[in-house]
Amino acid sequence: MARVTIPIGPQHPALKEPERFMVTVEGETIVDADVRIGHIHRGLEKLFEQRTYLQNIHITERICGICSFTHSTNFCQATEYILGVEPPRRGLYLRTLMNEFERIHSHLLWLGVAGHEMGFDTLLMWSWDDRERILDLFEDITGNRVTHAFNTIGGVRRDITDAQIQRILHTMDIMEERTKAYIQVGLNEQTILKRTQGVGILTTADAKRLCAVGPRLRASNVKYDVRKNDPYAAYGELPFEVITSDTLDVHGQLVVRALELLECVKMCRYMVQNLPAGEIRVKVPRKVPPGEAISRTEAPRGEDIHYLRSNGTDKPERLKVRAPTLANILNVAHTLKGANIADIPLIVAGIDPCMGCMDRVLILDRDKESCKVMSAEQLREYSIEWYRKEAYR
Amino acid sequence: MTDEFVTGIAARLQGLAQNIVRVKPQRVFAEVPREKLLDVVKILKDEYDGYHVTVITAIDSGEKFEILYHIVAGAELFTLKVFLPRKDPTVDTLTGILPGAILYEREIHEIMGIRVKNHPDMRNLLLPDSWGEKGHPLRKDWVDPRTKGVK
Repeated sequence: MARVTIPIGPQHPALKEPERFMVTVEGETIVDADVRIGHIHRGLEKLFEQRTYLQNIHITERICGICSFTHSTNFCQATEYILGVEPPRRGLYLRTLMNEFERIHSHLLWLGVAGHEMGFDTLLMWSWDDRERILDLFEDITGNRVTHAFNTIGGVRRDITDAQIQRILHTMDIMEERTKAYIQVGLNEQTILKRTQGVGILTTADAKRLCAVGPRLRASNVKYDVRKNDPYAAYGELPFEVITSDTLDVHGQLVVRALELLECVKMCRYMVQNLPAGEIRVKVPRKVPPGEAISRTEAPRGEDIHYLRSNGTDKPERLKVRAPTLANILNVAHTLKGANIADIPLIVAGIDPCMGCMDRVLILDRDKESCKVMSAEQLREYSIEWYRKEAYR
Repeated sequence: MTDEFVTGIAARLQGLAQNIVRVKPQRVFAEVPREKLLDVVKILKDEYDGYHVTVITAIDSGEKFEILYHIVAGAELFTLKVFLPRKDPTVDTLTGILPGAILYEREIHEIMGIRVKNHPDMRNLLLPDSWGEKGHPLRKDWVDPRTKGVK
């Protein structure tokens, strides 16, 4: 059968973000996949060098719209390491609390997108409704729903009140009940099981070889979590388990994330009930002495690392950021090989090869070295003709 | 700060790496000459479970470039520092030992202009395909070509 190369993206109605996949298929099976990223490269690492540390807190927060807090935590931690400053325990607890809120809302968002991609939009509606409760808590505590402006070098900027603690506990009760319902749905609902079991298998050896991170790594049965293996902020004092799954597939990722939600709820309860008294921040100088530091955090999507070098002024010499998705894109390209076309959206949760939506596609015949461009109408006729023949095979 | 682990690994890497120090818990820094880089990475992978390359940082420090390989080995986060002269910024690829380094090496190639020897795929990662000869934007002496001639 002839091989066909299909470009998906960068601008595509089914893509959530601009990135391009060149997928070579043989019939319905993917034989090769190549990823091209960089369509929204903003030059932030250059910008960091021209802004002061205080300004950079807010720029790092804008690296990602979902895991904004983990990036500002990372930057503040790296600066604190160089300064030799330890934030007060109450500040660390509040910082950790926000990190866990962020994990809850990010995992719920993922669950909704995954449900949407597998054609189970009810799940999308449910989980995004529950995600609103966490965003409301964010708004209550920090004043902002997405970029919180809550972190600062040396601690956090706002304290929480007893009334807010009561509201957090109330929301956590609801979240626990809802998460248990999601786990029941995830383990028993036929739509989910049929679409995710055995799809996107990444073996433990491949996950280690390709340096996977986060829930993808833990779904490949590797027990690695930065929160446990390299504790930062208040994580060293919190009770929680690292969740892994041995099914290696997309269903394993769903189970890992759903069970992590329960752990998050447990941690948040523990933190607000055992919140230390005292100050929330220490004052730090605006100029940072020369030095270098590495800070790692476990973002909702996996390990996030910042490397900071200072030069004695109020601006960094270099700040290197590696977000978890860059580490995981390599194993996505690997997992796609041998998969079915219909499983692309689930493997690359968020990418839907919706051919009918595409204005035009490029049909490349590797054997004949020929290339032609078809309009949507031509493509439609071609597919009708093809399936008509198929019926008689 | 020294301890048993650092003394042990310093003895193992005798003649391959210098200045092995632990700056804080779980952060070990070492300086490696570029000829010895692959040997050190291989020892880390085979004997210290160092399969995970977290990221590769490139820094322009004027006279020379610094390439920092952040590798998780066991419970430690190693940072291998390689100094490259500005005239000849060439370094061997890690992809033969750690395939996960492929994207990070593409990144230091385009943004800092580091030549990576024997790399299997040297296309641009972040910059557009039409970038051409507009230079390496993260170098300190880089000037945005769009602003040339603007007063």
